[in-house]
Amino acid sequence: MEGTAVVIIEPLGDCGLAVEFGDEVNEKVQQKVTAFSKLLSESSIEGIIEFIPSYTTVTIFYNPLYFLDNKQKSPFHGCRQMVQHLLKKIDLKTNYLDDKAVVIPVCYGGEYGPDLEAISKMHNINIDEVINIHSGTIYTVAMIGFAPGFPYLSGLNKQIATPRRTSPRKSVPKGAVGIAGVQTGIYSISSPGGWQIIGRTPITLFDHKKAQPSLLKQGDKVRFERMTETQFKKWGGAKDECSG
Amino acid sequence: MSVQVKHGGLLTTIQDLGRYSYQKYGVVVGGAMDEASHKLANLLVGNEWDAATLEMTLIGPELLFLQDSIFAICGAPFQATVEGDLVPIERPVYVRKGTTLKVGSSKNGCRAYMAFRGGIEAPLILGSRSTYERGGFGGLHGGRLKKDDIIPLKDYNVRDNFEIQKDNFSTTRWFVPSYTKKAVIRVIEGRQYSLFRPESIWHFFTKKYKISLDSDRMGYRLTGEKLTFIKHVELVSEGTAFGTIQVPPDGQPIVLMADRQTTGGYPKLANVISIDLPLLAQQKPGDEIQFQKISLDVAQKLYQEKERSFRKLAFILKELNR
Repeated sequence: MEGTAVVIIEPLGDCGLAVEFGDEVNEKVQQKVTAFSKLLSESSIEGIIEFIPSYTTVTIFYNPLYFLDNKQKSPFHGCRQMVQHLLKKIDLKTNYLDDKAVVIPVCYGGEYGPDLEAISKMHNINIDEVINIHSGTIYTVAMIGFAPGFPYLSGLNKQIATPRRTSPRKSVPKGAVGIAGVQTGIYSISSPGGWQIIGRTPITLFDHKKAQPSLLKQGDKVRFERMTETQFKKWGGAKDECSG
Repeated sequence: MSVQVKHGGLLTTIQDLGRYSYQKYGVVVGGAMDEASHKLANLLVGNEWDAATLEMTLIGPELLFLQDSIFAICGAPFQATVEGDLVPIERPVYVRKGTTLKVGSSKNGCRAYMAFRGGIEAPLILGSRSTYERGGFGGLHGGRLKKDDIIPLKDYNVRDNFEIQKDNFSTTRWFVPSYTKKAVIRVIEGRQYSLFRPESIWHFFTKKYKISLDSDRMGYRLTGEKLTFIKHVELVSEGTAFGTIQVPPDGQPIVLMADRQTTGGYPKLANVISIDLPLLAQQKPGDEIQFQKISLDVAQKLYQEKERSFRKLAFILKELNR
């Protein structure tokens, strides 16, 4: 892989390590994270328990006993060697990011998007324009975290980037679409949270009964599509409101 | 085979060794906070060590046995009585159908694990029976035990599979850490160790940190000398581990525990070594911790020794249970 030299491999506790592909969030780094994650999934390497891809890093959890093989200096060194070997296999000519965007219908504003008006005022852009900007972009799933199935999406237009609420809400309903800084995301389950809520989707992002419980994975592309309240109700979207 | 819950206790949940390979989808690992006690309880009743147990916190439950059963309680020395008689902990105990077990509290430690011969047959969700309260899934109904819950146990014939003698086993004390109020917890350096001021690092290893009341299965919030950074660096979120010690801007460290979120963006000062996690999990709000730094190589050697002796014990107990 080109630029292997800049990849940092550091321990995370005594059963894990972090593989860092860069120190800033951009498409190129995301490509590498996705490519490496794909290799990890496909290779099913013994001794590796699981991994977590994020913005710039892939965190690997391993079984130290497996890497204690006499020739290894230590389990960490053993696992690091395996990672270095795998890094060489990354072919950056292949486009690992999915081109087909998952479409997420969103009912913007009103009771479903209580912070939309404030965002429009803050940036001095009318509400429809905020919606057009938000739904007119193709986002990349930078990582899944915070809650089961919660996607952190990168690619938000800086015109509508807004800091988190000064005080988080006690409850944000499942399906709420929010903005935090230059990120946008979707609450996959109802939970407390400080993101600025601009709308809601009736789509289920996390279902523990499914073998692949999360609708999205790191590297997926996402596009939002405006829907009416009538359509939202027809789709059976969650009724509970933001509170706190 | 089943057991009826008469009273759920303070916080009693069904746990196994956790839900692995779904962290990439944001699903927390969960599982027993004190894995060593969980494993030991299982081994004592002849189970595989990953069978589901009850994790009892501070005050235990009251249970009515609807079948003859064998159980063992390990971890913090909770007071437990069967029909008023004190029952030993860290031993397999045989109880008859219709008997009631009351688990009280413990002077030392925080959590105890109750294994039933055969294991708890809660539904497998994403490969684990562990309860994840925040997500509302796992265990019996996604939450802690409550009155009238029925805990399904795997069917087996007690008399055929187990020789019932009161004092057939006793456990080796060396597996059971003493849950003193002054625990020394060993750590290795975290990814952002060098971002902290040298005097903060010195405070971290010389002063005591108290476990705050806001601590739970997700994380232990510590209070003590404020930790400060050389410079402010805004990090992007990345994977976390059991025992990761992160420091938010208020300078009070948080240790991530079994129900930790999969990713986090605060600087990571250190990571508790795996074999000290059970001891940490037994500390309760108000207890004080002293941190000590060791190297990764030593941590991994200690891990290996502990794991080997645990495996040896598992083998011996399995032979005895044959």
